[in-house]
Amino acid sequence: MAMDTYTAEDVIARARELDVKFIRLQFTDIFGILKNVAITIERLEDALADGVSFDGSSIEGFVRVEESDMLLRPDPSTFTVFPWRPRDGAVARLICDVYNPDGTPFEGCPRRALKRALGAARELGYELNVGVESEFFLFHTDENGQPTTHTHDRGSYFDLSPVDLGENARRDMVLVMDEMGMHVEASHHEASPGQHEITLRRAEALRAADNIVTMRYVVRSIAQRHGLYASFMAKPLFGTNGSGLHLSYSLFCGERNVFTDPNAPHELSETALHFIGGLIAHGRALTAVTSPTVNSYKRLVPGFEAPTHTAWAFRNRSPMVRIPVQRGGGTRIELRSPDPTCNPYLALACSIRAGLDGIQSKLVPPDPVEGNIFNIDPQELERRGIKRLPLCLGEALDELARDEVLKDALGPHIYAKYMQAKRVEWETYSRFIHKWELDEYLARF
Amino acid sequence: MNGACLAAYSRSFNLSLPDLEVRTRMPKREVFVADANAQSRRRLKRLLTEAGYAVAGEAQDAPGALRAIRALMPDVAIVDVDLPGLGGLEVVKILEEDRLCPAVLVASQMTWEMVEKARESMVLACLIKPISAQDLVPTIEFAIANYERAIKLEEKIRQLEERLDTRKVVERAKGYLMKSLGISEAEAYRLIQKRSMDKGVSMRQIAEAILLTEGFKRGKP
Repeated sequence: MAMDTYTAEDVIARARELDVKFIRLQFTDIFGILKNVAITIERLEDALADGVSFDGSSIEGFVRVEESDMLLRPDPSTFTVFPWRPRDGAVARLICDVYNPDGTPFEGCPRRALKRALGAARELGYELNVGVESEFFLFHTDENGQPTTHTHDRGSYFDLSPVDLGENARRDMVLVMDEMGMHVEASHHEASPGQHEITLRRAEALRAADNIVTMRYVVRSIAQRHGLYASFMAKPLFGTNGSGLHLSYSLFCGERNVFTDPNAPHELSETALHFIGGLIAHGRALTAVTSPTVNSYKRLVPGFEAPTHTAWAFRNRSPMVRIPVQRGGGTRIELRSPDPTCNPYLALACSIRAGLDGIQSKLVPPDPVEGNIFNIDPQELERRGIKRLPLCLGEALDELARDEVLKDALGPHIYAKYMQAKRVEWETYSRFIHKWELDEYLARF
Repeated sequence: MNGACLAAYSRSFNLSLPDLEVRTRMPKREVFVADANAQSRRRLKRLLTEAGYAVAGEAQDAPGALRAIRALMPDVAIVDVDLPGLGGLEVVKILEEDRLCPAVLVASQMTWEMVEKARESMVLACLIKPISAQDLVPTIEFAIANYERAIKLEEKIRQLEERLDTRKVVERAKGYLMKSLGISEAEAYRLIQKRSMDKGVSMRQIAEAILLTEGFKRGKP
């Protein structure tokens, strides 16, 4: 039976069959950090029927202290067992939606924001599928178990061993995700030592976001079991490629991929062009959600296969949007600006609403760009409506503050909390005296 | 192992030399040492070498131990409970769950809480510091022997479960063939057996294929 169709009864039966002892109820805060509330198998039936209450004030960006009791409602279709705890009772997980104590949906739940965006798509007759490519680094830890930015043990017997630790860990990650019912592929990047990539096959958009959260959790857990530290930080090392989270969208009307049109130029339908137009029109504001950390903007620089402009292209990998070669049912639009520090629910909610706005407002994208975007005269870029992506988090937040479509996609609660926290993050960084400044100025002036 | 070591070893064990010669003819077992304390590691390595073991490698923290053990694949790991990073118990648990190697847990003292935790993971043996040569050899040997026994049993269980599953699937496929072709049970069995031999695939795969076709006919997804 496909897990997508699991009901509460199926979950209970399956949990008993697999001798599950604990169930982790998972949800993310506004910043995409995975939270867990563990319950025992005895409480599963009640949890599925009535939800489980927890203290929401302990979760960043959720609620004020006086309204701290929140309710978690598990989504039975997300039931899966962690395959790496085979003995003495298995551990399962269920992804949850967050509700208010009175049973109304909580406005601060990121999963709900995505469901709203998908509802908007459904009203237009569309279903969204999303494919995901995520990059990350596997680093070694120091003697205290803290992550370092080293990708190899220095001067030890590992140099003599034929075993590639990162490769072994990655193979385990793929096996685990496979057993959990996610279809994944993995590869290694030659360009940056220690960097890896995991591809999640196209799935319905909500499932894709759940999969990203699960993938990050699995990757971190398995890395730890291999004595390694997995980091999804956007740009951990100066001078090499950063880590991106490429999201590729395909829009379906029933069985038909509406992005394809065999008679149109490049076989891309009008709808596809409008969707691209929407992503590009909201591109600068979207960055505040898809590249949410101070460090994210150190990835969005020229020379490292990361996007720098609100442009689109077919082969060129430096614009924000790329159209991979597959056509027909496999036609998709790839957004290359997000990085894996983003909250996947909010990144998808905002990008999907941006694309839908393009369709509804019939926005037309600039002509696709081929060749190096830096060889094009800045005035020419401006004439064509191609803008530079924000250079820093502060600039991106200013853009988001002006974008009513994306504010609506987030909803007033999430928007306010997100903006408040991210402004603080940006200001803290801006006021801090960094090592670079001391190295550069202390002796010179 | 040189003569002096052998003599010391036999003294510490009260074993006669002919017994030991059996051991010295076996390939040296490789032992991994994980302990934060450099002095403890040195002492343990000396004991191991004297007792005729090879030291595969050493680590001073949990992540380092996991990295090295995965790379070196020793015959056994001796893990101190106070290993920085994840702690020794978690390391032992991972070694067991991922079937990397048998583990011997080392502690200065064993509290009841530790015993309870250790029971959850497959701690095969435990040594209390200071470790004597007398304790070390039998503990290591029993740990390895019990681990190998557990792995063999596990494999046997897997095979039995597989056989049981095969029988269930073949039963169902047989039932379907009997009903749809109007043949006897023995005939249905022979039919599946013959197809399996002709195609060079297992009877289970043939049975599964039959049931899959049945599903299609009944319009099941």
